[in-house]
Amino acid sequence: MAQLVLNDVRKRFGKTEVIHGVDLEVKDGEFVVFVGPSGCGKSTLLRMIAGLEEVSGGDVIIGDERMNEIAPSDRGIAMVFQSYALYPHKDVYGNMAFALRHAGEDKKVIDERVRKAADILGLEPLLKRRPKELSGGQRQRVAIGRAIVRDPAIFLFDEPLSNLDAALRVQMRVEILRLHQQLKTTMVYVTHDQVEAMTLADRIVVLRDGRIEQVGTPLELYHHPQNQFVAGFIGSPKMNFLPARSEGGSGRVTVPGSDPIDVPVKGSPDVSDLTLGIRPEHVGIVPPDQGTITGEVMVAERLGGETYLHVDLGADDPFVVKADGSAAQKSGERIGLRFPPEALHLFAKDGAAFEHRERHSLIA
Amino acid sequence: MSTVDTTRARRGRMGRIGTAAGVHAVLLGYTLIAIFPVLIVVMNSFKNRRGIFTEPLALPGPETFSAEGYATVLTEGNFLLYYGNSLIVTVVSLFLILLLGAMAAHALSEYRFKLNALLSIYMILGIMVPIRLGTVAILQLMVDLNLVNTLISLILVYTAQGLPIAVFILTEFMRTLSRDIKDCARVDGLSEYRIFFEVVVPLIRPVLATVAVFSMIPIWNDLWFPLILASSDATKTVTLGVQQFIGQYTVNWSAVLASLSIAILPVLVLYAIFSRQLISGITAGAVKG
Repeated sequence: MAQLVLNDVRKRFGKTEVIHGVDLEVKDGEFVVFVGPSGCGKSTLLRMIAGLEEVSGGDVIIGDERMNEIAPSDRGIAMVFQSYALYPHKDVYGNMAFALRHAGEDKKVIDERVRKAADILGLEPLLKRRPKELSGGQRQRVAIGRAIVRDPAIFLFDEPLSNLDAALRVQMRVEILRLHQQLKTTMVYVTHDQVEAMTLADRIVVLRDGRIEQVGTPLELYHHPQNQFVAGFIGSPKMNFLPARSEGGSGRVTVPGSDPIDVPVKGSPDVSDLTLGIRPEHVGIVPPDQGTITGEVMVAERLGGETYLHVDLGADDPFVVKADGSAAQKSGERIGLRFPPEALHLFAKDGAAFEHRERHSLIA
Repeated sequence: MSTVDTTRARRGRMGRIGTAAGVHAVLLGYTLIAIFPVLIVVMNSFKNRRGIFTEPLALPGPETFSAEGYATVLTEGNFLLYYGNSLIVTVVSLFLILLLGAMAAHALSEYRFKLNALLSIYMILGIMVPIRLGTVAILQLMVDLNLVNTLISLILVYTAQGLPIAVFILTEFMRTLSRDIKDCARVDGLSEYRIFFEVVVPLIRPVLATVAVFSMIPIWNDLWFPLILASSDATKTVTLGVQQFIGQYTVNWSAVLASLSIAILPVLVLYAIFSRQLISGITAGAVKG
């Protein structure tokens, strides 16, 4: 059990800096997810915490100790890799016992801990198997078991579910969540999948190009993104963005072809280059004459339980509206759209969000 | 519709069988050509002198059968000593090539350091320049080091000769190994040496066997360096030892062929050992897939 502190952490490969000073505090027992598009530096950051990648600047502190020059095995961490990284020439038991055996731990203690971990993950019937005789999900479970056996202060997960098929991913996701509730250990988890991030995390760290864009609980990021990147990254299908123009400040804006829209934000954004954002699930569908804006349905994607309407509002990207599964709208039909004010987001030209006047009721 | 499909399917199947037959015919032909001289050597080693010369292509019969060649080889001269010399030189060189080659390859593929690329190119140059070009310099060096007429001189030369291609092949293969598994071993607390011996070596066993097989043959068969560096009676290798039966005026063909037949054996044994390792699949399941 330990907290993790990153203090202006930087990483350079030669002359190129890829992590530009990251500050972060992970509390003891917290489940933190690093999320971001590929190449944002999330895996590099995790590997720096693990000690597999040298720290070019700043401090990595685990517990109360600065770990920059400490070997990975002495940091009290255990890591689960995307490719499982099981030793192919050892059976499941051997894989799980390997680190302890190497550390010269007592045989009885090893056996006890391996069996306990196997019990937690339901691996007992597989202990004598080789990795190649296991399915993907079982292999990943062994990899997690190997981490549990070491009884680390911090678990590090590097995209552990990316190699699994969709159904298994959902199942393993629940299992990891259950594991965290059971062990109450600090966990740092890297993924590019925002659904994984939303479901697993106590707090999410959104990274882009080696910088933290925002840190917050899943709902904070969803309801109060600090900038346009986070707004677009969190949520699926992604948030719609429309070019907007301020109409006399105090949050009143128009988008091309719309009536004036009041966005309940603090301050008075009185510039022309604004972006209005609204999530597909928050848009209301009304008859054309009652809408704030009207458009033509281009495509209706029917998923059964829900329907995604792609609406042409004259912008480059289609505007996506999430409707009920039994929504009757067809392609070619004109519909009106209504934007509930509290679900609207307003972004300045540099992408920074204007703060809402009121916080969402679920967020303290 | 269905008849058309089945006809096409049948034609496709016939075509595949035809192709396979063609391939096998070529391979069989090649096998015969490759085995023929070996067969002649072994066959004639069991014949007496007359049998060898009158009917070289015939199997040993009751009249021509004779093991006199083997008797000569095993009693006269120091053939067993030569045999042992060859074996020592080959096995030790092979061990050094595999050990040093794999370690160098691990370093070149795993670590980022200055001169990494330069070292790789240096190794490739070693493949392109035949070591025999340096014979004179090597001889001078061995004289200076007082290593002439020792097996060590041969071992050193063969190790140098085998290393470049071994490093090249092993480096290329090691680059394909998953980085995660080595990182995992690091998190588990293994030193870099133990990572190499306990994690990397088990994963590259099939490739090590491949490198061993084709490094072994030229060492075992070499006549050049034993002749130049170690021609004393105590250090002769098999290929050099055979020469004692080839006189200026008479050649004891039975003995020559018998010693050659015996010389084939260890290569076959080593090959059998390594080829079991060649059957890969050991890495399957290590990483995704």
